[in-house]
Amino acid sequence: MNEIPHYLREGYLTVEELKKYIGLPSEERLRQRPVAVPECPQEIPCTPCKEVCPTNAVLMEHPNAVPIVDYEKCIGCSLCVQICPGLAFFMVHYIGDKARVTMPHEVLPVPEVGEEVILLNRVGEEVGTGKVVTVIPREKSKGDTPIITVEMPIELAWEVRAVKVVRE
Amino acid sequence: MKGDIVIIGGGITGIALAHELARRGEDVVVLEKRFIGSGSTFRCGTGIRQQFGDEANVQVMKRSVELWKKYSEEYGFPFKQTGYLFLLYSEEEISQFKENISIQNRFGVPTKLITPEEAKEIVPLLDVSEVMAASWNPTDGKADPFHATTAFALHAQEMGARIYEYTEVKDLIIEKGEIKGVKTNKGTIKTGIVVNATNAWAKLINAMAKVPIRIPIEPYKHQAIITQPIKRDTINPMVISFKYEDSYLTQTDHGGIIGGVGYEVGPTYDLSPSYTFLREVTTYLSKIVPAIRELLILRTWAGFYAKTPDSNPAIGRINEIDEYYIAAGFSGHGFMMAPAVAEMLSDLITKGKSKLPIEWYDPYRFERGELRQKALQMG
Amino acid sequence: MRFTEHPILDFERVRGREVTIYFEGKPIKAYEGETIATALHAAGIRIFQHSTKKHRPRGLFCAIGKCSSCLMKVNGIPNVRTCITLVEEGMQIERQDEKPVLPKTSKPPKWKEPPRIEADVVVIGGGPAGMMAAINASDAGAKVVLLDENPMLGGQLVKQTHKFFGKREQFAGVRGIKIAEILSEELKKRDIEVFLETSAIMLLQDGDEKLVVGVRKNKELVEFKGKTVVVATGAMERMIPFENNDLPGVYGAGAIQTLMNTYGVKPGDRVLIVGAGNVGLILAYQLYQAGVKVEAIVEAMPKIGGYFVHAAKVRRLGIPILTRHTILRAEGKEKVERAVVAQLDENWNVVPGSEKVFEVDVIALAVGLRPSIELLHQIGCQIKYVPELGGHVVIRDSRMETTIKGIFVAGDSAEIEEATTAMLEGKIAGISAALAAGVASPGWLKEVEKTQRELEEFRSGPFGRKVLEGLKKVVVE
Repeated sequence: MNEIPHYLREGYLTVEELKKYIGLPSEERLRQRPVAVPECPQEIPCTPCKEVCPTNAVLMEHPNAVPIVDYEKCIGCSLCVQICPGLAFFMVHYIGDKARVTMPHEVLPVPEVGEEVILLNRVGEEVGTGKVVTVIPREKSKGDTPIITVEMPIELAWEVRAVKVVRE
Repeated sequence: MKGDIVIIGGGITGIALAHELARRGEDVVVLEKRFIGSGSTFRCGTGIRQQFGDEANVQVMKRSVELWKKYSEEYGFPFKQTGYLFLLYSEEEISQFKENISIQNRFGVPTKLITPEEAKEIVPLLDVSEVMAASWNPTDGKADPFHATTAFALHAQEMGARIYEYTEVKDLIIEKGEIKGVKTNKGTIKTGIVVNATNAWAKLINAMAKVPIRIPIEPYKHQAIITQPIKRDTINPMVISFKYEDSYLTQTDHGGIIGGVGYEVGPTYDLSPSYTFLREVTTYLSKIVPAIRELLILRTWAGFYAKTPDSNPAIGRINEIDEYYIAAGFSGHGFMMAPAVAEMLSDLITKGKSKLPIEWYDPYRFERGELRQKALQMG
Repeated sequence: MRFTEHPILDFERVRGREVTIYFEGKPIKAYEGETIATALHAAGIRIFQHSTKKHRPRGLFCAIGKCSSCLMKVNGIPNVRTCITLVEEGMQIERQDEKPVLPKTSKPPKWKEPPRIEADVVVIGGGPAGMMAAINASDAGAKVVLLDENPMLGGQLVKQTHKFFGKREQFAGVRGIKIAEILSEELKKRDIEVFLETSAIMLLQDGDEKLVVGVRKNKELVEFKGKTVVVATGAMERMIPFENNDLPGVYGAGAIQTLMNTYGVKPGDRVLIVGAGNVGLILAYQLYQAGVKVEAIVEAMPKIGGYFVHAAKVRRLGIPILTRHTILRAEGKEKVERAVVAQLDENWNVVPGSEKVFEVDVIALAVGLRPSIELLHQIGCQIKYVPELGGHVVIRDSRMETTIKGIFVAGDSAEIEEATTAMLEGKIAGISAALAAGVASPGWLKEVEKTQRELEEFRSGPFGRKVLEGLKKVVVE
């Protein structure tokens, strides 16, 4: 049973797996501007990210290939995050000791800019709080999916992939 | 391999015959090209009646009902004497049925003419607005063809009969007018006696045997339906209406209504279900029992009536071939007659004669141009 | 319970006029346009009948008219499929607790000749495959008529709130519900006549042509005559054996989607999902979106069978996926109150002491589908059992024509696959049916070939392998 990768047994990628299968942008690149990271390690018939990318930064040899982002070509426009049917694209941007993570958010309520939210890791555990810095609502999103950018401590940048909005 | 008596055809006729012969200690083999009951038996309308219009059929069916009762009790398969109810809509029909009833009564079959109101007491959902009278025999009934055939087969096997399924007869070996064996897709069986019990396929076996006389039996497609189950005892008897295209309907043990009409197609070996039939059956059955319109039809299927010109079967010995018997051409009555046919044909094979009026079914009558009074056929 | 807020769907907009129906004499609020089963569910009624022999409670299971779990007595008529019958003001609904009794008041029907609709191509089924077949047959020059037994077009698309995969031109990145709308619009534009709430009950050869016998709204006979027919009747949910798998609250995944995404009714409060294929994973996400707690997804295989990205979506919302686990039994008096699951070892045996109890009121079965081939079987198409394709399927050629000339098949009724492939197959079948009807110019063959290439490309990855293996056994030239 060793041939089954962890992510297919458990349903999430560890950061080690992310490095192994996807490859992370350099620290330098992460500080330049937001960069898209596809958490999509499995060959499935799906190409919207490649088709939507304005700079051809998403590389796929065939429609079933795993998307590889040329981090240098990526301009951080977030269209891939908006369109991805698997909600598997994220953007990460380092600013000082903070990181801004852009993610899809298809559940209610949709947070507002400035709102404090609970940060969830890849298995839904609460790992801290963060502040919402931008919201692209559903009607403005290219892919009918609201996109939010959340600011958090930099050490959580590769842990947090969802948020929970708690209101009174 | 060999067998004293080889029966070709594993429908109810062949199986009941094998059962009876085995009971009498005969060495008997049944050859069935698919599985037992698969030809017409498992497709039948399940009814068993004594209400015929001639003495022979009344006597034979009276004996058959006795045997159905005996074996269903012994073997524990469902046979129920829930009666046959013929709905009559004209003076002409009534007078015909009065004649039939008097024959039936003469042989101890307790059929009587009843009023529409009495009919409605038996089946409250009937629409009797146009019914003038009904012919009612509470001792007629129905049996489950799956359980019955299987029970006869199992008990026949216990008594030594051998039943070979998926064994198709390819030819008969006849030398100087004497049967020597039967060739099948699985090899040859040596035997001196062959019984053609293949009903709808009888002409094919007769051709292999080169039967020198004309025995006109042709397959006609008859279709049936079964509805979703409803509460038991809603339509206990077999209800028949000649006015509505020989329609029949009754309720199965499971609760579904099984029914059919006279619409037939043939001669043919095609069994694909037809839309014309469905339209007729829904039209006519809902005239007899209007509430049936509220039920969904679960399945429809077809089977063969192996018809002769007078709707009576050909049962007997073909004298030119030593020894070749036929019991086929039941014209829709094979299931109900089977136990009595088994008995009289066993008598003929083992004793050379029978107490039952087997001559009525003489296979030579067609050759001689002596057709019988047409047997009441329905569905 | 009905919900008013949803991140994707807007039910206030689609709910019709409020009406009152009566369950066992008690009034219940319902909305026009919703099914009886939906309204009962919204009122908290889970038990629709009791089995006739053992009197076990029965509730909804498939919600698309394919099983018999929801049969009830409606206005005195027994055995009504309440999952596809729409509510009407004043309807009297009763539980069926024994084999039904027929009404004494029925009159013989008045018979009239059924309407006969003539077309070049008759399409049976208004899901992704059927709609694409109809649109493309029409574009290729055929007069097309389409029938479907559900009250709305779209088939299973109408409850797919997730975005589709594939290429952009194949609607990738578009939600299933939106695709249903787009395709419905396309049908309208082309003047394709659509018969809803019309079940095809028989498929017949009629000379050189075909006859489809339909029954509209459970009472009116309609005949559809076509030169060719496309059968796109979809699939039905599989059941797996476990103790009490017939308890109300054990639902097919599709039934939950219907309640929740088509009609905006909560299936329950806490759910256990069985099966981590795409359907199970997507369902978990949809339940979370609707505010229903998913306790866990159990999967007997050692790995997640659906797309990883669907699994990641639910994991980060805190929904556990237990691979190598199975359901042992459902517990509860008249409906599901608990589910007991256990771990499996490498030989598929239950690991002693590994039982876990989940307090749930719904158990969702997402354990696969099987093709609905009844009509194809009935008319005599050659059938073969191919496990890779979901069970019994019909032999066909690469243009989706079955062994009976003029009868085409597409989508899940051809083999269990994706809605995207269903649409591509629908396109191939639709154009081929128009060609076979003699109304399309031979130039349309190019479009068929192009679509075949797209299909090939879609299936070229690891997820297409199983289907390709299966197709080798049924595609003949």
